[in-house]
Amino acid sequence: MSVTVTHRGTAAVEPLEMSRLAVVIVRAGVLPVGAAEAAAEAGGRVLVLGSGTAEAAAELGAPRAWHAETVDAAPAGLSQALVPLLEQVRLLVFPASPDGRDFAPRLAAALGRPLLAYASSASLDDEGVRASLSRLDGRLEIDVRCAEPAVVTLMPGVRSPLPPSNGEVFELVLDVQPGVDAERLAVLEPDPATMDLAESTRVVGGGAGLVAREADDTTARETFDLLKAIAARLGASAGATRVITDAGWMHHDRQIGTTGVTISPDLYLAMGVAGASQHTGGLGAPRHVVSVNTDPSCPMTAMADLGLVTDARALLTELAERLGVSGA
Amino acid sequence: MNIVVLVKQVPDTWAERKLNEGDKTLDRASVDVVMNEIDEYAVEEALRIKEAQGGEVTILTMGPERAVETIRKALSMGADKAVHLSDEALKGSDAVQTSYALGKVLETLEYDLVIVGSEATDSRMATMGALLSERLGQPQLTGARKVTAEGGTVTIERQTDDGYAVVEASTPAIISVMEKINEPRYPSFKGIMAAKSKPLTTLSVGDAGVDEGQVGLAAAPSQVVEFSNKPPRQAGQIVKDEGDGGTKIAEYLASQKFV
Repeated sequence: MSVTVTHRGTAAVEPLEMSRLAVVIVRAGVLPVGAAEAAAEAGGRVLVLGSGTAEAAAELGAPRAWHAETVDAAPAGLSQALVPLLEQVRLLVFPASPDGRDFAPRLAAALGRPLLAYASSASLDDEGVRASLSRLDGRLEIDVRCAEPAVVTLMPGVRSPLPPSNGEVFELVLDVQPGVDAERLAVLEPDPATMDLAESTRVVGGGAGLVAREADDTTARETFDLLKAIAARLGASAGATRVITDAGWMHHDRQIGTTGVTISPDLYLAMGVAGASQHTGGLGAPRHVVSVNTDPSCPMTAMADLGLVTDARALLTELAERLGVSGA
Repeated sequence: MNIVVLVKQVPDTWAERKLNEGDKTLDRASVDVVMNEIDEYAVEEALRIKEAQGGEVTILTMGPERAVETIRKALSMGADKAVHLSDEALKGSDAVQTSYALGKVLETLEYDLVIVGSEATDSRMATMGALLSERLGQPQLTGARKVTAEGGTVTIERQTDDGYAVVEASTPAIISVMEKINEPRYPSFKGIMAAKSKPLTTLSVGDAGVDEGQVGLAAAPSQVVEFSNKPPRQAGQIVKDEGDGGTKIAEYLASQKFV
């Protein structure tokens, strides 16, 4: 069932009155990673903003969804438009996707509420909001309580979504006034090979152990081209440590780590990666880790579900043969 | 062009980082501390803009007394002066409270740009740019991999979900930079010596006009109920390659239903 409720003008927008609500920002109807989980954590109520919101809301299949096209709305204008709509909602849950992480702080500041970032769970009871937060690169779990309403960003991969339901979908028309905002002049083409790393559920990472000490630049490049081909065959994205991207053997966008891309895949296959904390700090909480390294006591192998003690270069070649791929 | 760079002192990521048992705040006293790595890129970017067009670079840090070490490092890289907001009352402030306190100080400074690192290694919340934009009512230019500032206009290339966007705003504006933006310089010996005599203003909450009732642990809207250190991932199975390494990986991937 689809219901259209149209409000025109900021003043006419009735505040939404549920106690919990997920807020999901979509682009061209594409849901970000973690959208369905955020909706589930908010009890199946979700507000979809951005472009292509009607189809995105339908795809979510939440019990109750609201959507508003805010195609070109920039953050300042949007946060001001949302305050009257959302001020009654005590728990607002954003997926910790790039857009969610970017906008949640503004809304928190505009509403004068605390921001509980990177939660693994969030709930509401008589005493207020309760959340578990992951800190210090996943090494610390903090349970916090908050007597006031709060804004939460929820890490992807922490819970299962609700089964799809044929819920009600309401359309809202938000009157977003121009705020003190930046103006988007152009959108540059993404590099399709690299843009998916952060959201990829499978990642094959390469480290210095793939490169022989005496290897020349061409050989090293070929090795990482092969790594990319193997990753592609496994339906995975290729990543690398900083040493590799600094050497120019893989693009900087592929660098996994505290100063590069943060990932949290289902599978991380680490080839010749020792596992320095700057690297593992960007791993989030991978569900399955396979490490291939000659050193059985290196940190990467120590945290692996399967650690294979062998030369990663030789194994890369073997995997390539098995999978029938070549780097060319 | 006058630029304020926000710099944070954080526990070294190599150090064993933990919370204090008593007040459940991050232990910043007993560990090695360093400048938050991405903040070095923010300082570098500010220095490059200043070197091209003139103006002044001011470092702004909120943190305990020992954060002076980090401020000195930024000054030794080439920043002109620094403001250190330091007060026991600020301890335990959350991100939103911190943005309130920093916003109060920024209101007293004259600047065209505020540059922050995209995130700090202790919290990884990556929120300060957006929080300050909302508070100060100035344009938000977050996630910059390239910054061009000219006259009253600043343009960045911003990494987004769907590629790169070229985004432009009028100054004053708030920018957060990603690591890919530049390669920070090392302080020279001359720079280190010069840093010792550069102006450093230390402000208490009173000096900065910050309402003590709105900051710090006592006023924090959320309280830590409990915390637990998660043990490092337990070691799984470690096997030597006996010529069947590829098979072992294939078997593992199959057993976990990846292939």
